[in-house]
Amino acid sequence: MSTFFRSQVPLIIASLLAAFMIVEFFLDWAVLRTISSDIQSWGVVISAFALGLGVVTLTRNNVGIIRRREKNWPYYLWCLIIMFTMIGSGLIGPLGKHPVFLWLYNNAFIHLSSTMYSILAFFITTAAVRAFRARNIDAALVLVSGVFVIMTLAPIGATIWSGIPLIGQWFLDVPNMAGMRGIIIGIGLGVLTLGIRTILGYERAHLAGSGGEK
Amino acid sequence: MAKYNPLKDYRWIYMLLIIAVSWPLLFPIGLPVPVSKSTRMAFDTIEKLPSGSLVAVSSVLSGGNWPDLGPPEMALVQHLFKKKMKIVFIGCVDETPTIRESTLLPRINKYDAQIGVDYVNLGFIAGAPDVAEAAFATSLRKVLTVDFRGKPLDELPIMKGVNTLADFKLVIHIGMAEDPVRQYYTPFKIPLIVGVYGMMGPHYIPYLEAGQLSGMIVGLRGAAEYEYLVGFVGEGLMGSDALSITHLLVAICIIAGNLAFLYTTRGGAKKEGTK
Repeated sequence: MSTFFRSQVPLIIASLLAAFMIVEFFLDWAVLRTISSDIQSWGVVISAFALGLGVVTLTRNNVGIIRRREKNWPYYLWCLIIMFTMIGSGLIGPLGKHPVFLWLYNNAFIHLSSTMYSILAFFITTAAVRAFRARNIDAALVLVSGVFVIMTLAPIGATIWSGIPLIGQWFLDVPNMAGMRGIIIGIGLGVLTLGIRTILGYERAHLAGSGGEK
Repeated sequence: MAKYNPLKDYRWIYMLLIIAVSWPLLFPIGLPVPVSKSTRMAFDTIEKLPSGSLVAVSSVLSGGNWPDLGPPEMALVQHLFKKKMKIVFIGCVDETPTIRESTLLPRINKYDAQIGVDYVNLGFIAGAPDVAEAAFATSLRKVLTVDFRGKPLDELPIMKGVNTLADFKLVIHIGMAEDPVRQYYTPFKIPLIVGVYGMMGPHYIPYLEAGQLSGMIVGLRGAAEYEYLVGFVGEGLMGSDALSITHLLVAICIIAGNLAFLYTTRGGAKKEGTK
């Protein structure tokens, strides 16, 4: 495939669509609204295809690892078995209502997912002991405000001392909000810059390595 | 072989954390739950809506984030059912419709609400979060033709005359707050309530103060406050004591870590001084 079709055509499509969506946001024309709503529906369809593509890629990678008997290959085999069991049982009969699918989902999947998320608590607690240290005046300020905010966000804070939520809320409403506003405005400006660069064809990261930054 | 130092063995902290979580769950203490401003705002917004108002509940709920996002959605939905609202559920993550059907809806009192008439689960729209939310808000009928049970939308009384988000009186989003502000509030100016991860609460205060959010439920703690307001005992109130004790443990650990740090640095300085 020539460079024109691999790189220039996607750039032109992305630039035109992005420019169109911006124009549509500011102009209240029924025709533009209809086209914009169609484009947004395409986005959903493309995202749905990405899910199918994910299944194909995962299968190809895992099958390769299993064939070559690479390290831990039984886990990759188990991953494929479970994935196809879930997909297969979910598609039999009314969508997602098969007893095998529901049993696996309710008794294995939810609890395993919650466990993965809950493990964070252990990391956060030990990280707090190791990293949250008053090495200098700046770190000491962060430490004091952090402890007040932690105790404000927990219902027990007010029980220990009624002043804790007042001080913690001040930290949240004044320094935190000022900082967060700055961060949000910064992100907004960054996104705007990225959008303009994409429309003008300078940003090529979305072309998956076929161009790079100009 | 290095000498074993119990102070550097973090498994003690893991054990304390397990006790701090499980003890209050097994033997509840009943600590008071003060209601925050953001939770009160969310409650008042729903209270002010007339019964029968059409409310959209969009979410990224899944098994992994259930401990933090499940209780807020459950408390809000319980309030909606109690107020006899018409509820349209939409999932922006593939797991959301299933977890709602299997875990959320069976646990709450629906006050004789009928499926298809008073509430409907529309299933999942791919493209989380922005693409799905934008498609739901602007072109709902183009991306969805049937509900999660496979019933055509045109046959559902609740969906009669519903084409875009402009047809709703309130939208609730469970997940983050930036994307619903961009896709729901900014184009449609519809009151928006969010339920967010506990750690993200402070990040979204500017949106609340700017009036872009009509209320915010922050994680398990926010769910506990909301359940208290609604008069419903769910996972929020049940987990509130555990949340308090674990937060206290983290604060104690930070203070203890600093005392140990001071002790070692001062001790080190003294030893150097004697040399």
